[in-house]
Amino acid sequence: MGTIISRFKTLESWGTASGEYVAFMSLVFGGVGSVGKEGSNAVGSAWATPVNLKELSIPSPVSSAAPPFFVYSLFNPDDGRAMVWVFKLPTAVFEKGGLNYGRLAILLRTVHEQAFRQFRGEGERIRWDEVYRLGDKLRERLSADRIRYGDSGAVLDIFLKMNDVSEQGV
Amino acid sequence: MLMLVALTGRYSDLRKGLSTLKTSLGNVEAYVYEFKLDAGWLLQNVKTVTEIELQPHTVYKDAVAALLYGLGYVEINGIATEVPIVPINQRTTGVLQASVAQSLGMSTGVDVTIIKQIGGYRADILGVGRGGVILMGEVKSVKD
Repeated sequence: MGTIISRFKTLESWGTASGEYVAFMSLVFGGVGSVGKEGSNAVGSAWATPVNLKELSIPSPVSSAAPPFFVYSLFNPDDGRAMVWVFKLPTAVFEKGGLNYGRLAILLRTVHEQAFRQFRGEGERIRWDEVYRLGDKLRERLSADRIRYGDSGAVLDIFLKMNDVSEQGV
Repeated sequence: MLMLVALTGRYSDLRKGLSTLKTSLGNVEAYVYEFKLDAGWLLQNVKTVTEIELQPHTVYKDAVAALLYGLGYVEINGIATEVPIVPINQRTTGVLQASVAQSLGMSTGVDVTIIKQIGGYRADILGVGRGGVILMGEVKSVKD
């Protein structure tokens, strides 16, 4: 109980400066967490996930040795279409091992322009090679994590059962 | 919410492709995914049940998080949507670092990641993958 209280105090202490540190807390809370007071940059992460501190992967500081992935996504709320671009940050955005924010901004501006054109069916061609169903991919991973986490993964049964019931109803 | 979004979008076909984005910093090879999600239906149902009015942006960010999990980019206990990257000064950095380290029972000298807000772009942390790889990103409406 003391540990839990300590973590809530930690959440509270973050107050208006959540930032990526909440990713740590998201890990600690197994993906369920919310930080924020009025005016804060709040966090919402809402997947009921197994909690196993031994499974925690603490993110390394971003550097050229551990480049992060960048995910850029555009959606059209009118027709529901969404596109997602996933790429590893190129080494050119790093300087002396750390991020060069000026270069990163230049990169992202270009990525946005090209992604926007691709979303409209223009610009650089996309080589489409696979089609699958989102639900199938989710079920595969959830089922594997259900086994991987053992007893603490029982929370995933909620999703898996909901998915099964829906499948039968179709 | 993320689970609800995932259930809503589970019948959507997901197209996967590859594209080269040409930038002044060199070419970037990107995996591209495309899907459809009826956010209007979901938003209305959430409003009916909870009386909470969500922005489409929230729904799509959760959908992207579910997609990243489904595709193996992010660990299930590392999904962290709506985690903005904020400017953090030296003082808050120290406080946060100590706070996180204490929470995790680690040495306060542990290295942590600092990512500044990127000019013109409000990137978020979208999750943490196996081995601690961070996924930073942005989810935008084409109407913004």
